[in-house]
Amino acid sequence: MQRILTGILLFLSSVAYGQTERVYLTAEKDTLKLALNSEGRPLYYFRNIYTPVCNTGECKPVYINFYWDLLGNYTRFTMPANEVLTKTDHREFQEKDYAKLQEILAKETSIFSELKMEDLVVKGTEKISDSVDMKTGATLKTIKNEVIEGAVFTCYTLWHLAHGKITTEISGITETLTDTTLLHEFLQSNNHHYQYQAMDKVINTAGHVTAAYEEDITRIIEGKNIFTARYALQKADADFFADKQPWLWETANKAVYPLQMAIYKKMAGLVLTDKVALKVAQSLTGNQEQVKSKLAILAAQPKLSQAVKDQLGPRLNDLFQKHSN
Amino acid sequence: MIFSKNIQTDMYMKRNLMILFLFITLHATAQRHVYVEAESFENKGGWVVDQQSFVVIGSSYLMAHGMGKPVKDASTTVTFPAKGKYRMWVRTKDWAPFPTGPGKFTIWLNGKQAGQVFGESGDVAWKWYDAGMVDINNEKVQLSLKDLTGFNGRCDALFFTDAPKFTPPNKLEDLNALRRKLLHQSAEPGDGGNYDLVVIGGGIAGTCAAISAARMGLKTALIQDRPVLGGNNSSEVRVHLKGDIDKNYYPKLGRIVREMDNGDPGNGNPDANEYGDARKIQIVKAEKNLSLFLNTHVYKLEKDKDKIIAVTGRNISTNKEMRFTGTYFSDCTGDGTVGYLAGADFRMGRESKAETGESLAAEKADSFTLGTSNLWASVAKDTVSGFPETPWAMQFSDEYHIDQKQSDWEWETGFGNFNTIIDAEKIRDHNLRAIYGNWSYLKKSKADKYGKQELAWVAYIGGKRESRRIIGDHVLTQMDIQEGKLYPDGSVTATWTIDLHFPDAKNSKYFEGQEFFASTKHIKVAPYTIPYRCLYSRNISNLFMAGRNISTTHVAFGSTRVMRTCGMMGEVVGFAASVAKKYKTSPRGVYQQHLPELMNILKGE
Repeated sequence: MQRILTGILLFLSSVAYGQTERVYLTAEKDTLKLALNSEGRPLYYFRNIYTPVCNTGECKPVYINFYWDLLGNYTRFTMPANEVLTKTDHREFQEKDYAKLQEILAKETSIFSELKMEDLVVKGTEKISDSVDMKTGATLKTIKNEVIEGAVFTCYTLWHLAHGKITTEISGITETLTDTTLLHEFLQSNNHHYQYQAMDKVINTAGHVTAAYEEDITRIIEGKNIFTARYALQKADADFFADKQPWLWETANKAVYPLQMAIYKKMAGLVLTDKVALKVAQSLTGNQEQVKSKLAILAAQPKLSQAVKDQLGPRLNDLFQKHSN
Repeated sequence: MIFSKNIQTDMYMKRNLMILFLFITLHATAQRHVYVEAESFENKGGWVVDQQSFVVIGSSYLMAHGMGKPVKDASTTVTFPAKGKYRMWVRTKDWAPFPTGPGKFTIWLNGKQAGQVFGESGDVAWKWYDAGMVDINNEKVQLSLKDLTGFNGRCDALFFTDAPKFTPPNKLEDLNALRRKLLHQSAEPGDGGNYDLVVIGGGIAGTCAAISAARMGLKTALIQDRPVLGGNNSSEVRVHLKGDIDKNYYPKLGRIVREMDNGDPGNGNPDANEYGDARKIQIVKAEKNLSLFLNTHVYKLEKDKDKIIAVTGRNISTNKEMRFTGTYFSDCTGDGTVGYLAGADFRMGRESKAETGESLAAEKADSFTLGTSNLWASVAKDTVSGFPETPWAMQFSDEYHIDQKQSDWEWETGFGNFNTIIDAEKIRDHNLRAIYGNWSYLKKSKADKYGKQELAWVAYIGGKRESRRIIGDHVLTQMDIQEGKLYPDGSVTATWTIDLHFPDAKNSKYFEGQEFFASTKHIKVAPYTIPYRCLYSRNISNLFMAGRNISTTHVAFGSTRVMRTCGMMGEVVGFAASVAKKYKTSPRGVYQQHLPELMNILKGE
């Protein structure tokens, strides 16, 4: 399927009016291609790779297509038409081997990143060395799970191709292509690498959020990925939340617990409007930590309205006693 | 076994052991109290007995460990002193108050639910919950715990009182006093016997120590606080044996370890049988000089000056107590429980570089320890299955989750942020929140890969790595190890790297201060020997140690702690105890006056 798709793209590149790919040359003089959509916007990078895979002097050629996202994170591979991967004994890869290869290549960190080939296998063979567990702390069994037996060299070589220098070259190219459209696309994507990278561009170190991207940042905070949500929440300054306090409070109430607690903590650093402060005072329920955090939000306010004080009633003293020391 | 009892002011007591509960005569004005320990339920259904928090809450408890599927009811018959209205109190907790936990259960009296749903209060503290008034229309009441979720609901005890204003205490001291008054402790402990060597702790080290001593002709007791032997290598924890036995300086060592070895199933194998629990017990039971006491948690100790006279253990489910006297004792508890109770010098955490001169030591001494693992495994099934949502667990996303069908050693919590001993329950629960949160994410968001995988096993017993280290006449250091010093009393040969775990960097990034995943650096060592002087206490004159709680620095412990090595320490303790007995001397006396004889035994001469 993917192979067909690539085939189509290549075909389009030669006949369509719009440009569908752009070709770059890497530092090692390899061809790197950037796929574009019909409007000429960047989609992803890919390479049609030919590499020798060598084991103690004996080499075999491997043909394979690799794909990376716009920041150089490996995403997938396809096999060129009529090409297959083989194991030491020349048996062809089965479907499950290809699936396993994808799993192996998809790992950002792998035993291959810390090991050299000679650490991994018994010299002159592709047999995994019994002592490899001593070097990684992983059990031999785990290591066997992380490689394809009989194709250790292939896995090793390809993993390093997928995660090598190319990744920084790619992000370097994308840097030159970055514009407001791409930043919006990045922030609105499901790719957290894109989101973090764009957040660092639209939120400065003091926490100021560039106005044009405020909407994108709110979507991230209320989004599904609690890690990007927490990052945006913690990075953005009080000004960003100034006109979004009711929304922030609602978001906290809907959020999963750890994010909810992070939002409460953030709110304790904001000067709340009377209206939102009152909402907080009206909801002093939940478990001990939740109540404590909400009280902390109120205790941190420079002043509380009469309505909030009335709402707190006897808890008002509680609030100041608890937080005066 | 159920205990019930009535209190009156003059505390006139009468025991009726025939029906196995304590009974006190009742005056007209007396309050009627009935105290039911959950772990003593006659029929535990699918609930498990957990004694891991004994040092904190003074009791074992029942837990519904169903990996997300409600477990079968636990039930028992309780005998009340009289019919009437009682207030029911339930001692429980919400183990995952984020904001409220999943450990929900109800209580049923004679087939009718009594009181509220428990385990979802949002409060992590163990305490008594008022469950309202219940009518007891018959002296014999069928009491059941009904688990609602399979997610580790837990119950320590139930308490019935006809005194409307009586609130059972939450403070441990007071609670222990109440328990003592109402239950077991008012009776004398049973006689566990008198032994040459009492080994406390039935992990690999303790089991090997007991077998070794018994084979040397010593009358030996082996006391273990679980129903199985093997500790971290039992099916309850499922860590495989590491450390080599084929590079021994003294080839006689390692023979008993080899008997314990059930092959290498790796860590966290889904098949419990791979760990050979039954075989280990059979080997021990085959020893004529060896008495085995399973399910017995030692918590009390008697001393005469610098000598241990006796230890008392409590059965983790019946709560029956036994007292064991002996000439020598061996602390193979891992936590150094016996040494601690005896006032032995010990160390916990890391020494500083300045103190030990070790290059791998911390800059400053601190309380950092290696963590505790709760391993788990899933297996492939023919059909797609679901898994409950786990909002109370740790939360994962596509960006960060652990993409694994089975755990390995890296699943580990407690790097100085939790105390291995007093926070054992928190650590286990933290591990469970990581496991279940991650599994729930995988099942829902990676259905292609995990749809047909089903959790087959999750450990509820934590596999601890590091606790107290009892200080001996020698403290093994990194230099001893790396310089391969062969002391005259060098005994066990150790081969494992200096393997000091720390939180995995990526895990720290996402769960700072809440890490549950580890990394390590292996510092290679050449085979080296552990001096015999690391295997006995420097200030308790009849106390041996074997296992992770021997006399080493934190750094050296990183290498000595693996189980084949620990098992060989046990073997040495057995041999040394036999020499000590022969000459009526102390463990130190063996070193000072009879070392050649001990070494000859190790040499097989």
